[in-house]
Amino acid sequence: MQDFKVELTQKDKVQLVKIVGILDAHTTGELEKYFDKLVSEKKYHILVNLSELNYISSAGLGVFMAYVETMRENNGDIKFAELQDKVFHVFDLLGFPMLYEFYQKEEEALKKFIEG
Amino acid sequence: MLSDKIKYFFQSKLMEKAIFFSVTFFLYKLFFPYQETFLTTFITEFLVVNSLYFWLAFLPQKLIVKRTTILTLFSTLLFIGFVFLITEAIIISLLPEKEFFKLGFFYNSLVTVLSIVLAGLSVYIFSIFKKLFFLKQKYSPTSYFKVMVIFVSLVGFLTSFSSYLKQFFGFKEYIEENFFSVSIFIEWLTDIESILQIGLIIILIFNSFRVAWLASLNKSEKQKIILFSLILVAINGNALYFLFENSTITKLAYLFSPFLYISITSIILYAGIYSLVIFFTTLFHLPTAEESDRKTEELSTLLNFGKLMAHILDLHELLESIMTMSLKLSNFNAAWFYYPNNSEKKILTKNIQNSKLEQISNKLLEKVDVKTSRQTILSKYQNIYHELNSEYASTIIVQFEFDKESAYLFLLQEKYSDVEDEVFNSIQGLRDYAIVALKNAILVVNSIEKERMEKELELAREIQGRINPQILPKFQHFDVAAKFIPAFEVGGDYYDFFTIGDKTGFVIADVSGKGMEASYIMAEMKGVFETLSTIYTDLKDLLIQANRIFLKRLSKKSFITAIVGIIDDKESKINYFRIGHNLPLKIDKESRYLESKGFPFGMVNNEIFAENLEEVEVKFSQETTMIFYTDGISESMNENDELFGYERLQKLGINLANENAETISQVILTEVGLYSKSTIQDDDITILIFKKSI
Repeated sequence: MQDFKVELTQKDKVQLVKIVGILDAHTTGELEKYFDKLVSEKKYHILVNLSELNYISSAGLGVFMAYVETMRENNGDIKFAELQDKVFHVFDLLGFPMLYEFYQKEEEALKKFIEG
Repeated sequence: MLSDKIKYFFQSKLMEKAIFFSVTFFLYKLFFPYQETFLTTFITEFLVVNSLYFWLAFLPQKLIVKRTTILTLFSTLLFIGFVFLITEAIIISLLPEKEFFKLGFFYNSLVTVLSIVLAGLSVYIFSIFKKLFFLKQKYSPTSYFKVMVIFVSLVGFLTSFSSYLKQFFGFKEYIEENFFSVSIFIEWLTDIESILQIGLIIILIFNSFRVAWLASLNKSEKQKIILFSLILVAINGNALYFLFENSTITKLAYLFSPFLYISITSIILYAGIYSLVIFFTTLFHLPTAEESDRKTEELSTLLNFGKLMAHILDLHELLESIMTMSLKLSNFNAAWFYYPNNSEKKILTKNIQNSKLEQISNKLLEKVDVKTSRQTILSKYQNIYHELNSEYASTIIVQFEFDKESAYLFLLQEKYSDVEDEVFNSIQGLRDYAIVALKNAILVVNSIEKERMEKELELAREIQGRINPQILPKFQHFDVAAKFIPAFEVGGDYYDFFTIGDKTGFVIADVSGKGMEASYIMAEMKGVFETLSTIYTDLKDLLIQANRIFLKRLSKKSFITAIVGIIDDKESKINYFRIGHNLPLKIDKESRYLESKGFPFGMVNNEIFAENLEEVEVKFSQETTMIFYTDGISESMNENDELFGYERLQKLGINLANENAETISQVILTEVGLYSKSTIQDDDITILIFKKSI
C-alpha cells in the first residue's frame, strides 16, 4: 500500500497541498493536522493537488468541508486540481463541483488564485 | 485431682513452667542454701536444670516473635552484659572474704535472688547467641548446637557430682588415706571432667564460627558491629574473670549449685569467644565491605527491578522507577527522562529543575552519538553547560528503544569522574530489563484503549442491528431483496422502510464517519424519518426538513448520503431522490447508472439543497431491476488497493438480469466477497434490490 503523505509548498500567497496515497477514515486525522497548522499560520489560499491521491472516502471529503468556511471567511478558498477520474467521481456524486472550483492543471488554478 | 494438675502443668506454657521452677528453686534455696546431703544436691540440680531448660526453650521463641535486627540484638547483648557485670559486682561486694557460710538469712536470700538473676541474664545472653548461631545458615546446624548443650550439661553434672563427693569425703589427703578406691575414683572422675572441659571448650570455639549473618551487613552496620563486639569481649572477659578468679564466688557457686555455675561460665565463655570471632571476622571484612555493599545494592536493584516489571504498568511510574534505579546504580546526582513520543509528558525529572530540558535534550542528542558514547563531559558544550546552570560536570545518556520509539535517560554527575566498566554494564543491564517493561506498559495502555474501543464498537453494532429492519415489507408487484453486512468497525450504513401517506417509502443511507458516532447519527436518522413521514406527505418537503435538522445536528465535516424513494405498488413505479449518494443501477435491456443532481444531508444550506433536489421516476416493466447500494460495494478493495468499481457491478447486473431479487443480491455479495477476500472489510455493505414480480 502506498503510504499516505502530504507535501506542502508555498507559491506566492498560495499554499500548495499535495496529498498522496489514500485518504480514508484512518488518514483524515493527519490531513486535519496539516489544515489546523495552515489555519494557525493564517494561510487561507489553499490549492489541493490530488494527482497522486488514489482513493478518497466520505470521511476524507469531510476534511475539506470542515475548513472551507474558515478559508472563505478570510477571503481565501480551497480549490482542487489534477484529480484522477475515479476520485473526481466521488466529489461529483456529492455535488462538490457546485461548491468548489476544480481544475485540470495546477497552473490554471494558481493563475485563478493570483488573479482573483 | 492431683494428676489433673500435673497434666495441666505439662500442658501449660513454657514461660509458666520456667517461672514455676525458678520460684521453687528460690524458695528451696531460702531453706537449704547449701548442698550438704545428696538429696539437697539432687533437688537443687533438678530445679536448676529444669528452670534453665524451660527458660532456654521459652526465650528464643520470644526473640523470634519480636521484629529484631542484628543491631538491636547486639544492643540488647550489651545492655544485658552490663547488668550481668553489675550483678556480679554486687554479689562480690556483699560477700565477706571467707566466712560466707555464716551469712544471715537476709544476705542469703539476697545472694540467692542475685544468683537467679545472674542465671536468668546468662540464659538471655545464650538465647541471643543461639539466634545469631542459626541466623542465615545454609544448612541448619542444630546437631552442633545440641552437642554443645549436651557437653555443658555433662560437665555440669559431673562437676556437681564430684564436688559433692569431695565435700562428702572431706579433704583430698583424708580420702587418700582412708578410702583409697574412692580416691582413685575421684581422680578418675577429675580426669574425665578435664577431658570433658577441654571438649566443651573445643566445641564452644567451633560453634563460635557461625557468623554467616555478618556477610549480609552493610559497611556502617559492620563498623557498629566491630565496636559492639569489642565491648562484648571486654564485658564477657571481665565477667569470666570474676567467675574464675574470685575464689569466694567460685566456692560459693560450687556450694550453691555447681551445675548453674558451669552453665553460666560456659555461656559467658561462649559469649566471649563468639564476640572475639565476630570482632576479627568483621575487622577482616571491613575493607571489602564497601565493594560488597555496592554489589549487594546493585543486585538488589536489579532484582527489585525484576519485581517492579511485573507490577508497574503505569508508564510514568515505570519511567520514574527506572530513573531512581539508574541513579542508585550509577551513584550519579540527578536525572531526567526525555520521551519525545509521549504526548502527555515529554520530560520527567529527578533532583533537577530546569524548564529547558526538552531543548537541552535535543541539543545533546544532536551532538552526541548515543550508541557509541559512554559519558559526555558537559563543559565541552558551553551552551548546554550554561543552560544546565553549570551545575553538572558530565552525563550518561541511555537510549531506550522500543517499538520504533525512543526514550532517553540523562544521568547527571556534579563532579566529573570516569564511569567504571561495572557501573556502565549494570546500567546497560537495567536498560535491557527496562525496555521489556516499557514495552509491556505500552501494550497495556494500548490494550485498555483497544478494549474500550471494542466495547464501543459492540454497542454501535448493536444499535445498527436494531435500526436496520428485520422483516421486509411485502408488495404485490415488487420483488424486494435487502442485504446488509456490517464491517468490523461500524461503517454507518442504514436502510429502512417507512410509511408516507398511503404508500411505503424507503431509504438507503451512508453516514460519514464510523463507529459510535455514526451509529448515533443512524439512530437519529431513523427517528427523523419516522417523525417527518407522519407530517409530510410530499417526499421533497420531507427531505428539505430532514436536511434542516441534519445541518444543525451534524458537525461541519460530517454528512449523510442517501437515496430516499416512494414505492408505488399499484402503478409499479418508484420515485426517488438521490441525496449525494452513489448512483443507482438500472437494469432492463441494458445496465446503466442513473444520474441525477442532489447534495448530501447536512452539507449545504436548505436553499441550495432544495434547488438541487431532482426527482427521478422509474417505471418498472417485467425486465426492470433497480439496484441501490452503498459504497461498501463499489469501493471494496482487493489486495492491490484496486476498487471493485462501478463497471464490475454494471457487468454483473447484465448477467443477472433474469434472476430474482434475492439471487441477484446474493451473487453480487459473493462476487464482492471474493474480490476482496484477502483484505479486511473496511466499510459496511448494503444492497437493496427492487424487481417487478412475476
